[in-house]
Amino acid sequence: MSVVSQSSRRAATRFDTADEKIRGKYFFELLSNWGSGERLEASDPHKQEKEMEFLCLVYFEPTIFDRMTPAEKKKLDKDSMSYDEVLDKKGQLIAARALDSAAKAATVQVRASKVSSTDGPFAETKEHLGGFILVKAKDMAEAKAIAAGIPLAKYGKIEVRPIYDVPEA
Amino acid sequence: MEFALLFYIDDADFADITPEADRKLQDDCRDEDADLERQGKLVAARALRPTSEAVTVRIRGSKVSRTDGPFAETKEHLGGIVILRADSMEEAILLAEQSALAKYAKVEVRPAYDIRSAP
Repeated sequence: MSVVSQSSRRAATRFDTADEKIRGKYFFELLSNWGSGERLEASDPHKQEKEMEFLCLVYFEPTIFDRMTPAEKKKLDKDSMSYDEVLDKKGQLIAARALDSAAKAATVQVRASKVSSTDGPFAETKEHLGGFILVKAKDMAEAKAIAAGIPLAKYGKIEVRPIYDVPEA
Repeated sequence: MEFALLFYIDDADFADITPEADRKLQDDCRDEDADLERQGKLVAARALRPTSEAVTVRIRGSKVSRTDGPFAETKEHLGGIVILRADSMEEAILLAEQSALAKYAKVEVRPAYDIRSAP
């Protein structure tokens, strides 16, 4: 098991419940057809329907907003909200959030039962994580196309990361 | 209010983890998420696949460029994200401190920003 996947156990897997049902249905069909002499059709819904999830991380320099006119900024906000709606209508949006300034962040760690909490982001960087969109897509290519449609891609950079499917206990 | 917990991890911190500790961490994380969900505090929680599988996209003018790899190559990287509801930054920080993964990761707590209420 890779190190990353170990750390990745963090995820809540509320979609897994539905997923288990689909899997259960598949095996039920498989068993029902068993010995019937019929050729098993490729009815595995995982092959046909299972979508992957991707997190589009939006990085930009906070100063870009200082260089914008109020009208430009308003348009960007409006475009960003419209894009979320477009994704939502297509059933591809899971969650989209903008983040407040990194200056308002706090960073926490616990080592040997000692809790330390410091003001500020995890790392001071020129470009910071300003928001993210969690989407469903059939593959990385589609996720990249979604990322390219994010209005802030014109000002910052979008990192697209596949979601780790946490195995059940 | 909503907050994002950003879990930054260093692979080296997991190098010596025993299978038992690994299993316990996994169980604790799952219980924690279920607990937050029961309390109505969980919006979404997701773990990320390795940064080696990331692609970074940018557009300048009308030119789209796509490069393999994460936005930045760093020793510690974003390994997971939790969006939660809390009454205050104080409560969000407390929840981050209580998370089992805080023993291994550094957890950045960031308030979400409501663009609908932007000036």
